[in-house]
Amino acid sequence: MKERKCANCNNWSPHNLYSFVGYCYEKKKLSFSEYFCELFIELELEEEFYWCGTCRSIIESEEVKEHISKRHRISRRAFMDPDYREEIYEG
Amino acid sequence: MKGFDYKTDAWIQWCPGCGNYGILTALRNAIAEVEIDPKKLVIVSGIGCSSRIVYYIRGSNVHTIHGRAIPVASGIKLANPDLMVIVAGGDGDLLGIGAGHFVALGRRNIDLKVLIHDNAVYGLTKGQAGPTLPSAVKLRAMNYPNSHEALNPLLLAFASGYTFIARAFAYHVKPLKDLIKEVLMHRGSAVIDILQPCVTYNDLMTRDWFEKRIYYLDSLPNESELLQKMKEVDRIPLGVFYKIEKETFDQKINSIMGRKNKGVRNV
Amino acid sequence: MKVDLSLAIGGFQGGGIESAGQIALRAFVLKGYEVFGSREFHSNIIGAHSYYHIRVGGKALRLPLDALIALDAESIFTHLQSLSKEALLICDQYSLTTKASEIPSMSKALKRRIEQNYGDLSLNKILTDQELKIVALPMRDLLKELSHERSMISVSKALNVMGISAGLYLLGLNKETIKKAIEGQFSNPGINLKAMEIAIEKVKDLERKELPDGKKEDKLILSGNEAVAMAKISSGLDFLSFYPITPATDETLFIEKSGKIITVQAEDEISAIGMALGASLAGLRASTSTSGPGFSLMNEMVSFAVQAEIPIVITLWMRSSPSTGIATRTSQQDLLHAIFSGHGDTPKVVIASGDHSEAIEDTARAFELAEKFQIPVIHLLDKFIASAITTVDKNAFRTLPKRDFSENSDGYLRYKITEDGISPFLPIGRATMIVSSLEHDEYGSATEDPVDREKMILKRIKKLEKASEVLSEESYSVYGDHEPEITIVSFGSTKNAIMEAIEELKIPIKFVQLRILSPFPDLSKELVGKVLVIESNAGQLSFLLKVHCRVDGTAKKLNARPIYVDEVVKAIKAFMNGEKEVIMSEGV
Ligand SMILES: Cc1ncc(C[n+]2csc(CCOP(=O)(O)OP(=O)(O)O)c2C)c(N)n1
Ligand SMILES: [Mg+2]
Ligand SMILES: [Zn+2]
Repeated sequence: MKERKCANCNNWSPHNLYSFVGYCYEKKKLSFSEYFCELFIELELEEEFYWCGTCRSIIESEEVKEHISKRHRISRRAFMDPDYREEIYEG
Repeated sequence: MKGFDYKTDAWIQWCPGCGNYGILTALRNAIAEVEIDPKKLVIVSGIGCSSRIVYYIRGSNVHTIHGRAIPVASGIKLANPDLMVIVAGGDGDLLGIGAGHFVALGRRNIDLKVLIHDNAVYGLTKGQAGPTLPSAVKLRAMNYPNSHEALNPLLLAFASGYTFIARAFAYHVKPLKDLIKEVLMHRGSAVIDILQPCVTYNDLMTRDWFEKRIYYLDSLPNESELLQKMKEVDRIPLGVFYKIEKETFDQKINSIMGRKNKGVRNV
Repeated sequence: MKVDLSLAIGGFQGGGIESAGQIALRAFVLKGYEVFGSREFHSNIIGAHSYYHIRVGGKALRLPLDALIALDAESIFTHLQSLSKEALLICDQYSLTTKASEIPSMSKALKRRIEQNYGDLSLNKILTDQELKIVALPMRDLLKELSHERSMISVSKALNVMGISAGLYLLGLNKETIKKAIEGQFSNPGINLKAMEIAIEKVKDLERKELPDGKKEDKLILSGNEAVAMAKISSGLDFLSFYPITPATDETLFIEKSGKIITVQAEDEISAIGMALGASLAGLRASTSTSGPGFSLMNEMVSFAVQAEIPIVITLWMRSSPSTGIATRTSQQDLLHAIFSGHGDTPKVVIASGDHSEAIEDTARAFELAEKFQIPVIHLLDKFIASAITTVDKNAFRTLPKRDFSENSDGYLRYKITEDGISPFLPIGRATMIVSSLEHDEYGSATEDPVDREKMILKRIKKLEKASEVLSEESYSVYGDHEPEITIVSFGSTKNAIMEAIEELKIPIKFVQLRILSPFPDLSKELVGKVLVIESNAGQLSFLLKVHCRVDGTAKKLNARPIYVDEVVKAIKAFMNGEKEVIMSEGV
């Protein structure tokens, strides 16, 4: 079994740019990757897309195994700052 | 082959959560199941976030300029009918600046498959109203509510003469893949309007918003209900609306010119 | 003591680089310094490297950097070679274990260059050989501290504020100034101020020298896009139609937002210019804005505007071409495109501005010329000016009188032959007339008569000759020495870098900065000594100058990055040593 910390929790998503911090969708607040709490549940791998924090990219379910084998950080999705659009430039 | 085999090593540059990921996976899996030789696969796109798809699928692809994928793709297909030519682009690209070519393609019935990544915004230029955005809607990057009426891609396609007209939802990857497989088998101008939530700029037409409204057609609508189905807006039907077999443009040219060959051979 | 600093803040696109850069600019302005900030970014890609380059104490960019605030590892790798030997590097302590090969957003080309220079080593190892003043902050610990005190909404806008606050503080700004700058940036700055406190607390015992106060002036801080938008509004613009394109969109959206001007988003650029021409025909002051690809589409309409004699101001924000090129980076590649736009003999005016203040001046001048001579005026600017932020005089903006329609409508002739070629303008709807793209007679009726045709073509050319007379003295500015060894000729956004390079070189150099490029001014008396052309393209101004006069050498910028004072200094030296073609390659 994986270590019981936010980074491995199904409720938690890392920030898309800074992977050491993220958002807990259960507690509805920010927490840090090494934190842990009683609500921990292990990551369930049954969706179509995942977030690889190492590659900073969305990956398909078929690719998950390969990324995990390279010890990449996988989570269900990425958390983005609510105001991130103010900070991106146009094309 | 598997969808995977068509992957490239480019770092994908869409926002996390973008509907384009669903389209990419569905398209990759569809061409894998149909087993198209990557050398014979030609994806032609315009300019926009969605048009970057050509970098993410291994093929013999062309990234053209804003709004002009259809003319370039038409030339390719007429020159070498053996190629599987797919046009991909945004609603702004294909139905705004490129609308004239979209109409002309329907009138010609060239064997091209047009995938509209329809997010109702100009994603790449930061969220201005796209041609399919309903009127009076004000999205987060807009100064004022939309003063244009929304264009209905299905009705436009029908009026233009497309011989395959369908609508899909980007996040329903498997049904989209099956639909793309079907369109790949069709001969003639075909279009799939793919509803594609833009997580960054379209704060109205979100994944949830669509999921509350979409439903699948049971069967191909008959002529009397076709237009009504295409026009439906409160609930949004998905699936194939229209499909007929007709002589294609190159067949017509060849018969007019009395030629046996289709297109230029030996390319 | 003259304060002169170059600093950059770099990080992820979407990671608060814009607001951090603006805080820094604001802080230095509050302190009383001249500032110039340029932002460099990828096309709408979240997580790709972007940065803000800030010059304090000047209006042009300089290298090397005196300080880098790096919010991520990629920023350090990217700018490492641009740092001065003892530069201040503020970074995240935890990012230093990163190797270039581990950064997914970094381009393959840059990874390769880094590997060649340093091997595939972590930053820690690479940085040990450097004499930099490194301040490695434990960013995640600082963020934790902040999250214990306040509930946070935006991670990026906490980390960027921490980085920039520590940086500004160590560069010698006091806490009060930084605080004011942050308050000016955010509508609800509580959390950001707390972030600032935490960051400054962390570095407060490090060595620093307090900067002296500069000269405080009450000026506007504007981007080039905003400057032109405000100038259009102040000039009495009535109608603007556009199709979104970088780097023009921010200008048009600013105008739309003002709520005072009819603003229409068209379906493409052909329609955008077409609508503006229609509005102008109906008597409004009209304009459209675009960039290279859009201007390509407008070409046929430019020819129409010349033939039908319709006033229009086209603001052309050049970006890196050909084709879609690098949409978010700068260049001056549309000079010839602008001058020779439109099929046929199409006399028109092309104006280029060297900086924000000139852009404001030229906007009003563009409308005056367009309306007086009833021709298209193309106002050339570029991405560098569009997104660069600097201070501008509050009263730089002119107002223009409404267009004059005093001509009698009885017996009105739209294309009346007059001495100077200018026919009195009445808008559509004030008299019967025909406005025609066909060759026409004085009334506007189509004609193929050879005598009529010749008259009309000469009439249109005469207008430009008249414009040339009116403009002659104002077509260019002359700076520097009047009995020089060399004369530099340039146009547009290279201006301030050239001015500063000349100042620094202390050799007699004359600088002729072209403001009007069509009609091309007579420079025969101005070119003294050897002639060096400096431009951000492959030699377009050189071509023109060769045709009209003479050229001895060209210094070109081709890498889609802005121009730096230091590379201009080097280019001039190389030219004086006999090099005929110099390529300036600074910038990352
Ligand atoms: C002639 C021209 N005009 C404008 C642009 C700027 N531009 C790039 S993409 C785009 C629209 C993008 O919207 P859409 O086609 O819907 O694609 P999306 O980004 O939403 O996928 C525009 C206006 C351009 N590249 N070329
Ligand atoms: Mg779109
Ligand atoms: Zn990975």
